[in-house]
Amino acid sequence: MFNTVTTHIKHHNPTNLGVDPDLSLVQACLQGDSYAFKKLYQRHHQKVRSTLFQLCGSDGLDDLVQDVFLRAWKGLPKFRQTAQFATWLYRIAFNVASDRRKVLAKMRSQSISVEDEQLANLADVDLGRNSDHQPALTQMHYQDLMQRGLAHLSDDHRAVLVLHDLEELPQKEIAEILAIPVGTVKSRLFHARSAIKKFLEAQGVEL
Amino acid sequence: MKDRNSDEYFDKNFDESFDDPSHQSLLAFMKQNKPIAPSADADFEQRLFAEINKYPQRSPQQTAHQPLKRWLPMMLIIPTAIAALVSLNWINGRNQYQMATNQISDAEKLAIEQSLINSWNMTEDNTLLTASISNASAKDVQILQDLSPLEYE
Repeated sequence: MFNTVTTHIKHHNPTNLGVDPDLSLVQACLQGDSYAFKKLYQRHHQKVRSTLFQLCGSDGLDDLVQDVFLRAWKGLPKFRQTAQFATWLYRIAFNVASDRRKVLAKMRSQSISVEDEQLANLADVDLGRNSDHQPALTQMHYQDLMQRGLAHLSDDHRAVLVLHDLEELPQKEIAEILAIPVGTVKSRLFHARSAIKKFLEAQGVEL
Repeated sequence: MKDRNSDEYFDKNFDESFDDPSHQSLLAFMKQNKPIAPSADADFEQRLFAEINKYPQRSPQQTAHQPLKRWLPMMLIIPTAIAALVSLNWINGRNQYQMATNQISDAEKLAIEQSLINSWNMTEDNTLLTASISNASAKDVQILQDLSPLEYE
């Protein structure tokens, strides 16, 4: 299970990261300007949505995204403006994903077995039927394999792999989001890659 | 040599530009086949902001004064309640006194007064008696003190 992160970001070096372009919008939000929050939403919702999808799957994704932005809006007065807004938002997303995964831990295994069956049918019937659609279907198959590979990882490894290799966040930011040392991020990333590689190769993917 | 599984080992030897050939093909595969999140419902944004508008943002000044506002009614209620209780108690005592005095007739008042005078006089007599006993005792003590050296000699 993911551990819910409750600590605050303690330090931030503005010379390395530059002035956060979101801060003026955050200040406008604190004055009650929900239009400014709409701008923040438009800037970040795709990455938040994608991360939540990689971490939790598509089931109830809209609810999760809504939960993240609602928590962010309510939590804005507590946001320390020395930190990056995006990092803070990712941390909320990570906590929402953790909560969700705790609730759906049992249901997940059932849904995966159903998906396995559906995928097998898809591979047997559709791939053979129409060769024109084969590249698209092959990619769908690989995407599904990726999702199952992610589900196969431990929660710690999955989070690091998603944030670094799929969402392309720097290791330092991931360390802040997950409240772990950078060395641990690197270690988890290495083991996560090894584990997913092993899974994919076992499924017949040549890497 | 450091353990190859330790965080410290990875911290020093595994950075953003880490080039492991066995992982490069994996990274390419993952990027090419990254699962794409399904798009949101058409009215999702509208629903989200309708929900957000239910929770208006408070300004920092309002947030700072919030504890005072919260406790102010309690701070007013407690002294008011104490004052009301004291007043009630005083009024109640006064009523009882008036009820008692109104119910006593003049004859009873005189009898009570006489009883008080008698008990006062009796107290005075007892005090005189006690004083005389204590005086006698003092004399006895003096005699004993005068006699005591003789016993030791």
